[in-house]
Amino acid sequence: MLVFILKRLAVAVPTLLALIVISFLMMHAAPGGPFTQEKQLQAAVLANLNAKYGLDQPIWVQMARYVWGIVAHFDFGPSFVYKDRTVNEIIAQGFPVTLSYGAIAFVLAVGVGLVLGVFAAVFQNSWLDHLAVGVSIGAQVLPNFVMAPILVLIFTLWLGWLPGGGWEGGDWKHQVMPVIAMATAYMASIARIVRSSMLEVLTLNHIRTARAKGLPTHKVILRHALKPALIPVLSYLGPTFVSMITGSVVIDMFFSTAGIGKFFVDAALNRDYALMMGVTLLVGVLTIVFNLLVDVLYAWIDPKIRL
Amino acid sequence: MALSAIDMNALAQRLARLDEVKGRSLWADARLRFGRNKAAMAGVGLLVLCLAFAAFGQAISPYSYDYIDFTIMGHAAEMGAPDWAKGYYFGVDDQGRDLFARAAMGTRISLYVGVVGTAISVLVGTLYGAVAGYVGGWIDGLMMRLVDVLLAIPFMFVLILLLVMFGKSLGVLLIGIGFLSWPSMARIVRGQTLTLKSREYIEAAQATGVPAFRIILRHIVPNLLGIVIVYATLLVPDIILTESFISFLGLGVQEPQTSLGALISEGAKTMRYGTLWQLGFPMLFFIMTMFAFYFIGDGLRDALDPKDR
Repeated sequence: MLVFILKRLAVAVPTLLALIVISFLMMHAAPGGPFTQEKQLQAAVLANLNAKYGLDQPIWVQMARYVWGIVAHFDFGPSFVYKDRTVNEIIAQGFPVTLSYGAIAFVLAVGVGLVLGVFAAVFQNSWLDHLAVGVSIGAQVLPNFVMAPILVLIFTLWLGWLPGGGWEGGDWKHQVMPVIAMATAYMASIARIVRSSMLEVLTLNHIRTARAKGLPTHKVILRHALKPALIPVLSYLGPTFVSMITGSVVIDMFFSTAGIGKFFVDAALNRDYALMMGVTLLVGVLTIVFNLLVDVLYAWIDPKIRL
Repeated sequence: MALSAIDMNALAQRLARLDEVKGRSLWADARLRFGRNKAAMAGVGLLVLCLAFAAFGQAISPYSYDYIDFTIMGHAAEMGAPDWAKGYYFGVDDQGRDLFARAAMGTRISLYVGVVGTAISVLVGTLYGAVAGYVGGWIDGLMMRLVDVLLAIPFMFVLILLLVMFGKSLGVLLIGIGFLSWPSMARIVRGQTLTLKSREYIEAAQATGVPAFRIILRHIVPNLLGIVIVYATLLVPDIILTESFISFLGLGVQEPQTSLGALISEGAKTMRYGTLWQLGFPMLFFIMTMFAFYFIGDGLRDALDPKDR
């Protein structure tokens, strides 16, 4: 197990380096820079600014400095646009917001999806099953950017129950719609995966044995069917969590929640190299960590899988 | 007793017909299963509807997608509601432009991005995966590590970077989506290639001295078609979703061109003034398109996936 984790981490390092190189090259290959403005700066001023932020160095020197800053001091550099703040500070401010509604949405999607899927499978072809399948098929085509306007339309404009945006330090009223908008489509996918894998598991011999020895249905499901049925879901969860973080780009823009998504888009539009790199790296690291976690969980839940 | 010539003819015809029934190919079988799948057929119906709308919508509408009606401009809430008499079937947006023509344009662009993006992704992914799987050894290992690395890169963020850096245009969007979404395709194809390459007909081809690249193109790729078609069909809605996501943020297709995501975004911005048709119609076509591809993809998987037999 330890060897496996170490091996995976060994792959993670080149992955992150590749991410840095690709993003760096992309950012510098395009014309313009963070100090390109409509009103042209004087050449000397521009040169000084570039020198201050190290932009006058060759690209590989910049890259090496950047990586060194992260490795040695965990410093992602100063933001080029938010002049008085560092990337560390901006991420420290934005990420908890994203994480807050992202984590709640994740728990909601997994919880509801699981329950829907299990009930649909256990009561296959009953009205409950048809309802669950109907809901999950319907919800699958409702990504966050479709759900968000619909929710605002209903709960803010028609019913007037919830505020249409803002964050207010994470007050629950401001979290309801971001959470639901983000969770819906994933909940549907999870429900469908759980249902089909549960149906498969329920035909296996050990379930028949458990039933034959007289265990009540709920015990059969909880003790014997749930764990094997969850395996296909697990592999879906790693990418899902990361998609939720990515989805925050829409949520942050639409609901004006101050998460990293908004900072990322602002940074991209303003050529704030350091902030863009910081957010991209953060998501990259999360992707790697969650995929690793899922793999470890996999091995733990299913001993047949050799790492 | 001699059979008459007519009898013989009839018998021959019957035998010919019998033969036809007996030789049911994988594809014929798949067609049959697909045709029996109600959801899939509904998907085909929806897709035909969306395609027809995308193809002829702009011709049906009396207005062009960028024609501005200055009498309505800025007064969409009071005067822009759907009006059949004037030819504004879906209403008018806040700039005074006909929403029917714009929704047709948006559907066209979204479908176009979905199909072309998928085509790029399938082309690159299939070749890459087939080569990696067929060649094997350390080359395969290296190629697949590269895929692992690419899969761990946050796709949406890199796409946004690309668009901001190289201009928010349809071309950049297409290339970005196509080239960022091929790795998972490559992985699936490689897995299939590994099982194909030990088959006898490959060995026969190798024995007769066919060069490796020819074997890949002539013998491996055609046999991958089933699985490639299934995943391609499921990739189309994913790519349309990505495109709409990006356009919703205003980073994708630019004015006066439009896509479903951009239209939904406009509708969401103006819905507080009561111009719900601006949100509803683009959303309707978006949802219909998504449903169509999901149903068709699921149907194709059931029809073509040999595991299911």
